[in-house]
Amino acid sequence: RVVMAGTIDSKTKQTLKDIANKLRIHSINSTTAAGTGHPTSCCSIAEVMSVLFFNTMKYTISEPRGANNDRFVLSKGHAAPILYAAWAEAGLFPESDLLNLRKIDSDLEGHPTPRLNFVDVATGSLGQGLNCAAGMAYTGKYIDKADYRVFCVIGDGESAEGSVWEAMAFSSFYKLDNLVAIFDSPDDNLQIGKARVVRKSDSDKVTVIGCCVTLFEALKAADKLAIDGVNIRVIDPFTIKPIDAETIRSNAKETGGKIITVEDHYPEGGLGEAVCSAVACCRDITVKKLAVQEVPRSGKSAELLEKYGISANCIVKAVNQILSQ
Amino acid sequence: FIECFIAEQNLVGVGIGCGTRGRTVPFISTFACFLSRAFDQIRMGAISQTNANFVGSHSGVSIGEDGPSQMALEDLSMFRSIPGSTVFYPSDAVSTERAVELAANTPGVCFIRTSRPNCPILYSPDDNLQIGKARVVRKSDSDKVTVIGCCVTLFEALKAADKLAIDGVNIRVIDPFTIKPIDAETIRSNAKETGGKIITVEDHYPEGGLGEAVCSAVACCRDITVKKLAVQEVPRSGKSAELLEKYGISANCIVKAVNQILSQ
Repeated sequence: RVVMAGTIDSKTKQTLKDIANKLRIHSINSTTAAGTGHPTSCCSIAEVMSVLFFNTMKYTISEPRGANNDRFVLSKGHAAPILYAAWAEAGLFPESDLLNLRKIDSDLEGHPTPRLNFVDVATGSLGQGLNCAAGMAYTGKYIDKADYRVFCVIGDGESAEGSVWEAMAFSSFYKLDNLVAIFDSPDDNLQIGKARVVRKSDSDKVTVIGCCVTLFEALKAADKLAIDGVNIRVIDPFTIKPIDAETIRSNAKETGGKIITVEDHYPEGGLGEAVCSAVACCRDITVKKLAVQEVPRSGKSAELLEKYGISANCIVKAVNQILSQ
Repeated sequence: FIECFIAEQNLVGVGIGCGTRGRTVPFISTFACFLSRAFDQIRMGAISQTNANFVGSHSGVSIGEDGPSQMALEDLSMFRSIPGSTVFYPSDAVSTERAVELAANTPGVCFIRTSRPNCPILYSPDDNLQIGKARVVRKSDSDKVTVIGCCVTLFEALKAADKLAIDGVNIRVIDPFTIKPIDAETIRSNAKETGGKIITVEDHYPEGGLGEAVCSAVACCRDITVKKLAVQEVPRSGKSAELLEKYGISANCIVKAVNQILSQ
């Protein structure tokens, strides 16, 4: 998602987000109707499915087994409902069919099988999808000599299976550059004192640190700046105390020693000062703090972010100002 | 040919993947004993409606010195249990080649069990072996027992027939060629011609292999009995012939079993 953000325009991005949420809703509705299933495992890959099926993969909807189509293998087969939702959303069959999930007379089974024309290999015995995907990719590259790609979504739990590692060794040995393995890691494993770099490129000029509302403003600012060819790094500290000094320092050094903090808080004792403390002993790092500088007033949320200097626009201005110095 | 190295689960998965959308006719080959390591993948292959073919070599105690860890003695049971499967157990080079040809053209999972020892050529290319068609390889008008064996044990049965003939006892010898489907008709009719007496001989544990396939084939017939010779315990290292003898599936063991049945 982070990578895609740089290459998809904001309108397309919003459309893909909307589809992801539709797929979530379908997954919850179908598993609720069935009274059984794994809706959370579906929801965690909603964005992945949205981007793959509605942006990245090349396939003919009316001909799911077409020889030239990109292939898709859902190794974490228990997330079948969102696979079905994706094909329904693509238009292969009516949405209403999704409510027949797991019924005796429906081919929308608990785990995918080739009884469905859009499933090549049955999954549900975890850790096997990538092996089959590797065979399909080998066939595409060396036997068919075609340019279709094979996408495989793997759960983080099943990646402990030895067969997954066997598949990776095989794919590496045969240089299967037409195989895309996507590991779904729904539990981000956030840790106290560990910041997350949520946006990064090789040419970032400034490190922007925000939390929650201001983190998303920072990401919006990054999109705006990218249009003008300016890349910024964006960091989410997750905990303000303790603050991840090491991550902040190392990223600051990679972005010319320039940090901007953005916080929905007064300037004293908040995020900005925590960051200042973290880099206090470093030469060549400067911190510009965006924070609420005065007693605010009533208004719409977005208006207030703008008025008090912590909106995406304000971040863009601050970045441009720093870079022009 | 795709070298898959020492990674049998991946081997099977890759093979099944290669076969999707009918792009290839995969043959997945390793020692038969190590296919058991990927039984889950094979089982899933059936659910995936795969047409992948499997060749398990070095089966049974007849591999000899390498010892029990390398001997497949469960593979027939495993592959017979796969829904829609076809299980070939060819006895010579000609029938093995034919099995490969048939497997390539047969839907569903196919398994070909091969053996390590050199075996004489039994068939000619014109013999037109078919799935589910057994071959009567030795026959006389006075056969007292029908002995059914495959490959190594088929040749032991033929040796036993020679020994017994010296004492004037003739036996019929049948090669089933496929264990699943098994040629129930040929087995039943030959059993009836030999006093309802069948002996099966297999280089496999007694469960789920040739013997039980034959038992199933005659289950609905009165007056047919089946005596099973099979490997009854975890075997050990040794010379191939010594092991066939020790585990009760050699020509001598067949001779004894025939004599025992006829004395009852």
